[in-house]
Amino acid sequence: MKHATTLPLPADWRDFFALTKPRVMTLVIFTGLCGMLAAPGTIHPVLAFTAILCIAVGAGGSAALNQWWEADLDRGMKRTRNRPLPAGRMDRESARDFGFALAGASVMVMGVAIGWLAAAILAFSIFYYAWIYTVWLKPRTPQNIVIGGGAGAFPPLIGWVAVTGHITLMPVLLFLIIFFWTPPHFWALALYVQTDYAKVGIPMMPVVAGERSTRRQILIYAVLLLPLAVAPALIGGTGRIYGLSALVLSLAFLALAVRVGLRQSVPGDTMKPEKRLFAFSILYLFALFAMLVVDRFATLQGWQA
Amino acid sequence: MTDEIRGEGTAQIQGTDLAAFRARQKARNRVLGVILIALAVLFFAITIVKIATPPPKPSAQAAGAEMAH
Repeated sequence: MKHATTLPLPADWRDFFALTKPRVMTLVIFTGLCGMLAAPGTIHPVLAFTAILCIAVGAGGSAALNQWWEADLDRGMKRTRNRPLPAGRMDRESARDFGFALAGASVMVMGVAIGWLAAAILAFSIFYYAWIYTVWLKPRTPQNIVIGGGAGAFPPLIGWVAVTGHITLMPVLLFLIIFFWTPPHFWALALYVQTDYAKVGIPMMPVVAGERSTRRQILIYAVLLLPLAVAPALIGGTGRIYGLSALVLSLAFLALAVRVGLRQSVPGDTMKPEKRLFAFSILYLFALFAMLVVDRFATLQGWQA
Repeated sequence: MTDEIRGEGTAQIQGTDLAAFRARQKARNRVLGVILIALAVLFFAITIVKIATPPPKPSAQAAGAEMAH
């Protein structure tokens, strides 16, 4: 028997691209590149490009897996309801297969072209974000963002290891800087979009522990971030250019965090200090890692000891 | 060219649906083609770099051990 029907349109390639969270990927590419450029040693430009591509594609794969798993939650939030899966522009299986394909391909190419240590860390970072964070801890603990920060902290470590082939204290410090930067960055945002998270039952810190506790923790992490950001200079891993820049940037970050940490919102609050801290936190990380590269370049040119 | 697609001998789509279906397929195939060509170029370049780069020299300790043998 024959009947007329409307087959669903295949998903647009732009929706596959959107699954990789391109905006998050820019930060991943940037920090990975900075880790690579700041590392002692040299790498052929073709291999450097390949390593960065693998880091970006791996991050894209884990982002696709994250959206595959969280499609139902995303449907309930204003910020995410227009993503390809909750908006119904793509079926879940396509997103899942796309995520696994990107993750697998990025790890294999990294291993063959760059080295298996970098590939192993990349594989772990994908597993960390897609399973430890997304599936396991995000729906279970209000410390989810602290743990999630680890996933975003891997790119400079992988970039560094791609050049040197081994792990030292310096790349671990770069990892820790992003790890401790993430909670104040994300909780500043969560303070003014908390109603959205509460609606879908994600235990975000402001929802579970309350605003006062979240503000106090933003301040604690900002205080802890300052010595960590300056540490590369203190252990002799970088020169004065980075050390001074890290100190100034971290003091500015701390000043904004103090304003957020010591206040309490009132009904009809515009949440300006929180929005300012969130905006500055992005600038902070970009500037800090850019100064790491500038410092390395200055040292190589003999402009500083 | 026919303006219908038959799936499993029963389903068919017609008219503007088919045009949209074909356009979407074409765009996806074009992007996939560009990605595959870019990957082929990249793998070629990686191979050339790997062939041209000499293998890492053995460390002094390893060299010493080799000489002792």
